[in-house]
Amino acid sequence: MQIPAVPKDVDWREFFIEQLIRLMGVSAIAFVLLIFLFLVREGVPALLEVPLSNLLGQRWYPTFEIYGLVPLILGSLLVTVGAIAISLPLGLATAIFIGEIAPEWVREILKPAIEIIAGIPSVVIGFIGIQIVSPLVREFSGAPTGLTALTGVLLLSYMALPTIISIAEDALDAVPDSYRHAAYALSATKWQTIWRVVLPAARPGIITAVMLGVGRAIGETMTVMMVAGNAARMPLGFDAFLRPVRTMTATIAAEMGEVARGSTHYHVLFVVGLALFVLTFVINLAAALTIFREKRGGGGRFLA
Amino acid sequence: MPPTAKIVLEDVSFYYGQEPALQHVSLEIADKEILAIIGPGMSAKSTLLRILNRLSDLATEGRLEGRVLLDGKDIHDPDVSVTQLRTRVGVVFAVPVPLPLSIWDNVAYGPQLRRGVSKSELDSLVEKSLRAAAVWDEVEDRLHEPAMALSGGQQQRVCLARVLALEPEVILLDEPCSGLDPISTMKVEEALLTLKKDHCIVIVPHNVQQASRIGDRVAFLMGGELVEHGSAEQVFTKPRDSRTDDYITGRFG
Repeated sequence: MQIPAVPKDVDWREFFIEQLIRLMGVSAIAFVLLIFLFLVREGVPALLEVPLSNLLGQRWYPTFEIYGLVPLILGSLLVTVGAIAISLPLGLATAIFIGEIAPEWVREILKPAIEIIAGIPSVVIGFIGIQIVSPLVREFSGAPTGLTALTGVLLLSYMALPTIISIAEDALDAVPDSYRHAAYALSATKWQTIWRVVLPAARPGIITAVMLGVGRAIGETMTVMMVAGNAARMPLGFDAFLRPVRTMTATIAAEMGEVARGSTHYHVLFVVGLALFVLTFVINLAAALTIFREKRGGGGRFLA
Repeated sequence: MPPTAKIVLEDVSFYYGQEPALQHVSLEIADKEILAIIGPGMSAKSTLLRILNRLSDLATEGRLEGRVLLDGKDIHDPDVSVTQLRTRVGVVFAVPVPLPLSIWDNVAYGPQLRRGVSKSELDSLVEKSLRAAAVWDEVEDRLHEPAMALSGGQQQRVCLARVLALEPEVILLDEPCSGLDPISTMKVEEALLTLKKDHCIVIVPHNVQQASRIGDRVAFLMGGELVEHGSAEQVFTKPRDSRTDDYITGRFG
């Protein structure tokens, strides 16, 4: 039998498609770079005009040219860490329930239900926060106002949940059944199998889930702006959660519309954006490195 | 009749949903012997193995009929603990499945699930098990490296060691050498011949030659039906059923 020669135009098509895919891949990276360069371009004038000691100060008071970023950064970190501290255990437990324990029909209901939660607009969640969560927080804590860091934390943790659940569930789902059977065959109970075998095997995916959850929480603007009180104070001390707090995102959203374009304040807001960008980048990098190191440690050797 | 029956299957059938897999199998499995279950594909050999330590419970919509007795006790009795049963009846799969842990942790995994085993006891248990599985010499310097980094043949012997660490009475092996080179296969077979002195071993070999090399008794399954069983010598030299003869002489399968 004679194999027909590959027609010439197929070669050409291969080349075209390959280049198209390459172009798309490269442009995705290029856009991220361009965003970063834009932030730098708009932020650099502020770094030249405002002394570093001012930027690293503990007070944010732009009207008097006091641009301390520290309370904003700490504010963002506080609500993000708080939100993840709640949504990680809750989300992981839900993912384990859906992926490992629930019967098929319950799973079929829960999975889409969780995706619906993910689709609720953040302004609606903020509205619920103002109307319901904030009065509850005020009542139970005895704080002078219900618009506190805690209120933001509660709502953000709710918003990060669907992300964490669905990514973690995918990670559990990707663990081969042969691992589970091997563990059962070694006389492990269901819980021992989940805790000692399935979870460790799914760890890279779970770390990714947490990182995307962190990204969701740290980048969220509307909800925190509505419910967290927005006072740019240093969130230190034990009562920090019960006081108002202001995040970087809320600051940019609230003030960008009111500054004169090209003013110092305008440029400083870009520095805030830059700080946010760097912070998320560092967090993601740390996660990627953790996963990378574990993969290498896990031994990538092929079966002989 | 085998001298001492460790496991007795009484008219055992197994269904996946509506589909019958194993049909009316009655079989006695002797202690301190190797039983080789041979037969063409889809004849429910793996199903039969999995029933013996109730991994068949995990099959969705699986259904079992008949009784399986271990030392005269029905393993499906409500008062039998599945986890306890699985420490007594260990299984090695066709594809080695090292858990994503170190070699040491893989072997110590089973014993660690029981409470009150000290670190030094575990250490000696791990060494003993790896030696019995004929892999100690190759891994003793790298016990804390990931088991996944081993070669396929080493992984399979570590998996065997992992089962031995549970100190089981019965060892089930489902084509344990299917992915292994001849030398690794030989090492596994040697280990099994030593282990048979104080274990009941049931193996689904990956070919008829292996059954003849290590099997004391042979059971021939076809289409979920037990066609015949007897001593290896009898089945291989004077098969009673013409289908057995056709299969072992390589006319099909």
